Amino acid sequence: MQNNRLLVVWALVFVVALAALVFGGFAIRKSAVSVIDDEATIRTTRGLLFAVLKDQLDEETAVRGFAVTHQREFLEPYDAARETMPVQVTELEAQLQTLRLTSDVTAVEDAKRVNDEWVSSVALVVIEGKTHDLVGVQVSGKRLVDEFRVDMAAIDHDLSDQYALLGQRSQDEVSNFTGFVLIAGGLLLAAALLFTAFQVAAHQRYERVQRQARDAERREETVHAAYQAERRIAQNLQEAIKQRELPVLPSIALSAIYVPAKEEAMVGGDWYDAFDIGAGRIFFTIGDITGHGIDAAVAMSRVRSSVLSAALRDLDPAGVLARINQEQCEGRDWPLVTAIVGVADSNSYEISYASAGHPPPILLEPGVDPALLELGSLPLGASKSTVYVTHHVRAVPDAMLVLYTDGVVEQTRNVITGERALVHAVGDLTKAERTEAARAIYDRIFGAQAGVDDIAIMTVAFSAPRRSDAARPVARPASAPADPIPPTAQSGIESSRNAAVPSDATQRRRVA
Amino acid sequence: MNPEPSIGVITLNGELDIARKDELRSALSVTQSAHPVLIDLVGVTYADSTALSELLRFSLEAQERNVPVALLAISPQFLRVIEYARLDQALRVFTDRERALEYLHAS
Repeated sequence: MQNNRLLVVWALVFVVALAALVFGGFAIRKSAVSVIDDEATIRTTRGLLFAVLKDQLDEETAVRGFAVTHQREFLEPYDAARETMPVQVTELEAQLQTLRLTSDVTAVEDAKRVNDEWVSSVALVVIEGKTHDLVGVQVSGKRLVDEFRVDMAAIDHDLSDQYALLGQRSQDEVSNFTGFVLIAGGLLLAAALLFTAFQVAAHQRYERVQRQARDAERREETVHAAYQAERRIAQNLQEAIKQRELPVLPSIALSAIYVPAKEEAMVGGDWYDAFDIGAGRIFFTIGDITGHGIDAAVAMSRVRSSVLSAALRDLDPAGVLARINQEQCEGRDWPLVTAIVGVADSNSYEISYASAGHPPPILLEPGVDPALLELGSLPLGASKSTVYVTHHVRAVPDAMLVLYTDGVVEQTRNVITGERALVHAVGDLTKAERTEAARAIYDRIFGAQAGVDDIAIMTVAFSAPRRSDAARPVARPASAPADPIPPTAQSGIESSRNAAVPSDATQRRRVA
Repeated sequence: MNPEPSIGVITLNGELDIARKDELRSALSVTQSAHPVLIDLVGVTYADSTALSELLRFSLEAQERNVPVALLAISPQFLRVIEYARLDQALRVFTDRERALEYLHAS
């Protein structure tokens, strides 16, 4: 902005200086030329003046010589002067007009009249011998000649004055010229200074912009490096936290898949987990932390531990969510969490679950279309007063529960079509695919392309029992191998089992 | 058709995702008064969990201050996302503008 103003000022000064130079130059030239012209005119005029005076002198001398000698040849200069004088006089008058000396033109007229009078009253009288009073004639002739010379002298005086004026004028011209040179030079100097200032300012601005660009580049590099580091940390955290082996039970088959987001910033807080809680039952959970990056990964690890410790005290899904919700609401600005926790019982084929703002689980039963199960309550951490509800579903042998995170259905940002694609993928599962159901579903939906968001899918399938087993389910021993829950904690879960899972499948338990 | 001046209207369009978190926050922070609020999301087709969190937190805070909030949305896929997050439990969701305004005037 400031530089633009400077440039405008500079341009103005430059234009003014240039115009002054051009116009001033012309004016000075014109003035100087007129001084020189006037001087030449004055010189010519003076020459004419002297020529006229010489003619008059020739006339007079010739007449005086004739008067003494009476010889005709003495009259030759007189005749010549009589011829040239009118021409010279006309020329003189013209030059005086040019010099605008009108009083001198009158003086020339007067001199011409005096000369004519002298010719008629003196010269012709003497030449034609009409008088004997030569002395008298000569005296009056002398008076006329003096008169003539007075006129001429007056003119010469005026011309001298003109000369003097001309000198003054040329002095003025010189001082004008000096002033002009000083002003024009000053203006040009100012323009040059302004231009330099402008250049310096422009250069400084350029340097500043360059510096800013370099700084921005450096910052960007730093941010990018930090970004990369964050992505690595988030991914490592994900890997470290997640990849716990899923329990293996004879009566319940579990499968899961987790695919981190391709885009570094999107790696986030999806999790899934399952624990063998004995007696042919598993406790399962899946969830998603709002947001992405390290914060989400760390929050995920915290919430996931909370789920585990809450489940150790009370296996009721709604109770677990209520407990985590209280914790989440304590944290200032903690991200919201959507989650499903539940228990699958391979004895009764009952699934009880509670949901906090999570997409609905899908139940696949042989011979019917996959069904979207009921939604739950608000996400964890939204409101302390949220009431979570345990839903009970009585499934059939061979039923499969599909749990997933929102990345599965929000891939195209259209949940309706996403949901439809998922339901189709689940419905299309073949018997052979059931052991790796999560991967099969993922492949059906996404093929080779990676998701924009993190994606987690977990399936919980009851294995169809042999007839003999169905009638008499056998509880697993508490010290079963491959059990991820420490034996000390496990007893607590065992003891709370009966209270946690109500026998009435339609009952919905409210947790304050 | 025009809401009375005593109702604050927040209008958002397009897809609300984490990239628009700040925009969403400032839009929602405009209304801090006790006037009922209409969140006009007719032009919204998608919201990610971050955007839903913001809407949810805003609605819950408004509830605490006894400020009625109505959400207006028509896109089926967006309504389904709202359902997922159970925003419908935290605030009144309408698909009809008149009904939403009626509700806000009545409360």
